[in-house]
Amino acid sequence: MMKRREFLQKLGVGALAAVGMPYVATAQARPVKLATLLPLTGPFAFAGNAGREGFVDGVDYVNEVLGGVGGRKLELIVEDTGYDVAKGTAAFNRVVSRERAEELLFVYGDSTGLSKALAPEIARMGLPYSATSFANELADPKTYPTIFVFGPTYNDMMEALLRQIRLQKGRAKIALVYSNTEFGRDPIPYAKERAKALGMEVVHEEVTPPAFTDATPIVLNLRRANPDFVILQGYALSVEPLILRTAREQGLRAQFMGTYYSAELALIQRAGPAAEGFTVTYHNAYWYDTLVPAVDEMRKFRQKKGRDLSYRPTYYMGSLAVALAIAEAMRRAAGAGKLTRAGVVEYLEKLGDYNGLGLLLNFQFVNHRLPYTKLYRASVKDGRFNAITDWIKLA
Amino acid sequence: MSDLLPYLIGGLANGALYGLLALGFVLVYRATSVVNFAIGEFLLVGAYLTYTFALFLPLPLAMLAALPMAFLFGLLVERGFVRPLLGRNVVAVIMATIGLAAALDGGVQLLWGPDLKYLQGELPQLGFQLGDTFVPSRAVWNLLLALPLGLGLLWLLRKSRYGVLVRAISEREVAALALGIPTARILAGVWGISALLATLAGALLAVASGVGHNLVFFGLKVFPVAILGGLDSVGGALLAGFLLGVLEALSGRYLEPILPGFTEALPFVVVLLVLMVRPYGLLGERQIERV
Amino acid sequence: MILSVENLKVVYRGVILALDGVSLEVREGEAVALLGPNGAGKSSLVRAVAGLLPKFEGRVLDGHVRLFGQEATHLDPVRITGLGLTAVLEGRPLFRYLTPVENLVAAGHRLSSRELKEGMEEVFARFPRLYERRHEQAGYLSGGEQQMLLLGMALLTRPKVLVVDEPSLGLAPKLVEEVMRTLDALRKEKGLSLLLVEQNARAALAIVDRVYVLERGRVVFEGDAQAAQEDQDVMEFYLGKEEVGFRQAKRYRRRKRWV
Repeated sequence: MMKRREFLQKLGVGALAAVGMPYVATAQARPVKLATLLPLTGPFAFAGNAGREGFVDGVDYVNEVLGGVGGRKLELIVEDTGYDVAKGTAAFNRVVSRERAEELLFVYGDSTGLSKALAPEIARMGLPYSATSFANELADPKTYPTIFVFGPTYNDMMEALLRQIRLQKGRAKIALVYSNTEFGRDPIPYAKERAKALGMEVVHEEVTPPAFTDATPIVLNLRRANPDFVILQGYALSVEPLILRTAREQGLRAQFMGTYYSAELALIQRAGPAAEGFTVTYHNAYWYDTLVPAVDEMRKFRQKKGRDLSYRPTYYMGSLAVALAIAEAMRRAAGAGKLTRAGVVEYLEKLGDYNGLGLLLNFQFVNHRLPYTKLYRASVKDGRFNAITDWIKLA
Repeated sequence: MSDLLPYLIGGLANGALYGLLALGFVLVYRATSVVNFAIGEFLLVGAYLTYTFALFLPLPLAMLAALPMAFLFGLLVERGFVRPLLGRNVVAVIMATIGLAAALDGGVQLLWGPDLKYLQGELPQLGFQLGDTFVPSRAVWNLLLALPLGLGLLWLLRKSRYGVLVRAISEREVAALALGIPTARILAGVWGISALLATLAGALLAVASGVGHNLVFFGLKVFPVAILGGLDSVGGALLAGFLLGVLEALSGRYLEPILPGFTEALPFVVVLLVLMVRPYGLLGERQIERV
Repeated sequence: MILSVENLKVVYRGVILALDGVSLEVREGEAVALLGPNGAGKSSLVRAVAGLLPKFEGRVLDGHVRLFGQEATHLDPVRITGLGLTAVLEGRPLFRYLTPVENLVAAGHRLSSRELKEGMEEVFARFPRLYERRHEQAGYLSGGEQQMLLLGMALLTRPKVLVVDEPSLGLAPKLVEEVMRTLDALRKEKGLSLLLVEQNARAALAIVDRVYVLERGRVVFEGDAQAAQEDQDVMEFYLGKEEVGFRQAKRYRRRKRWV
């Protein structure tokens, strides 16, 4: 069933990629290149396209406001993965075989599945890499010395949620609902172990397909188990609204929680009043957090460029943070005369004093991930997620 | 029993949507022998049509307004995509509908953009308390719309003159043509109805899940449902929809704790079991052998 | 002229020549038989006049079909039946999963409800056995009953000219006779013109005025029914007065080529 989409994706992606690559190399010095493999079509097209926009803005900002990278222009390459590992792998191979090793200094990939598939090859090539995935396995510098996770891992996110639960209720009963995917399963063993260590009881576990149309059995099962907290993992707004609405209909009292990919406003819009109180981890800024310098800067920058100033989703902010941070690491590497793949890895590891215009607490990688997040709670009245904690340090 | 009842209600409500979608799918298959792999995209297009109308109409009216547009969309698909291929071999037509699916996926993204949407407004609350079980509004709406529409269509197909013509064409197009029956027009109408049913299912789904590409996956359910009902049985499709909805709900209750993730495979397991006993599906017609 | 076919050439899939310049006519109120062995092109002619060739991957290469003086070579079947020509194709083309009533409803799709009701009553009055089995699936009717149903259906299309392809196929001799008698009676009663396509020449000759014989896509004999019956070769070959083998068939063809 995946194959049937390929035809149009080829058509559509050509056009999309063309829009996403405003930089035809005109610079005198050879450009430095950043390649992104994003799900521009398929089930995660909403995230992929918002992410692409974040990269485009970030790279434009670096070139036009920050003056590029050590006098060289930063060039963005965009490829579509259609959220398909085979297609993503092909896109990766296409990019690395086409581009010169001394110019292509960073690749940003898609999905836990794709990243795991590419990881050995990336390690062999010494290519700095990150991805939309926050899978625990990727934050493993011993095995994958060039792979970075630009945020907390899913394990870290679970940790943050569990700590919050402990603050709210001693000896809480929790339930885990997760999709039967790499994305869904990734932090489950850790969450179970940590919950036990923190004196909680995991009263129920529910494994589901990544997309479904009826949450009644799930919610009724939850109601029978009667947890205080329910953590959702491995969905990206496809079913959380359905679960929340059904839970509300069935009079389930538990508080629902989720991780980074559930922290988008669309969840509140889709779930309606049932979204109230839904608590998520999120580690960048929201577009409405105008006190954050990055948001302020980008609003001005987009206005100057005549780009749409309406709400930009979390995936945009995440990409923007990566683009700014990677450019900063490259600039520092260039300053030391080390603008190579190894140099970028070295200076990413030394980026602890940078905070991406306030998009993150800092870029102090610990085991190649950034173990900080905030918790946000959905407010239906505001139509927003409001922060309920300051930065939580998870390692 | 009071424990089981809410599961059954949920299953029936979801099964109603399976039934609607499969009904349109089987109708097209019977009438034109085309296995429409783009049925999920029909649902997607329908949900986006509803979304568009909901921007300036109250939701119930938006759903209503989307139906004639959906019908038109079905006609267009038949005219532009299916009719030129009729009479070609089965594989060519299947490939064409797969291509159509991809084209519609892309077209929807191009037209409406990739960002996440939701249906503005709500359907009037019809939920009620049944003993100590609450029957949610969505379940009431699903059943209220799907059941009369499904049964009504079945009745029309059985009893109306138009229905007789559809069945006649389904069975033997050349013979119908020889009688001067305007088969092309009627078959286009069947595609229109199929798109209309998918749109209604899509809108009912989108009410709770939002409008986005993920709706396409619901289309995959149509295959087990249609096979279960008997590919050529329109009534079977409706019945199998409800059956599968209920079985999934029951599996979620009783099998999921023992076999986590099993419910995902359940439709196909059920299909396999039923086909072993009844190769034509639940209500599939036995071939008339005598000539 | 009700139906005239002029120098018609028909090919299938662009290569297989099925009719190679056939001309024939059916006049007002006339019954004409088109005889010929298997593969002579009889059914192709039926498909051509009914506008159904495209459904069989065939097309008219050359020549004309005229209906009531009007050019009808490339008309679609809906228009052709609208003009008044109804073709009953070979192989009992009824809807086997539909009941006789539903078959008649389908056939009478152009009629108003009232006309349809009356038409159906007429058909059932003529064929009481169909009435008895009116709610059974037509596929389970006997061959004779199916043939009657087909004639009833054809009537409900309100034709002026009826083209019937091989109604005798697979029927017992007694039934063949009955079908022919019915066809003859219907024709006379309704004032129809008839083009009867048959392999069973003896049965056909009993009810027609004129005869065409088709072989390998060409007309090899043309004349009134009387003449055909008197023609030694036609009789030998089609009525099986003698055991006719392959050699005789060839001889027949050789001799008749200059007719």
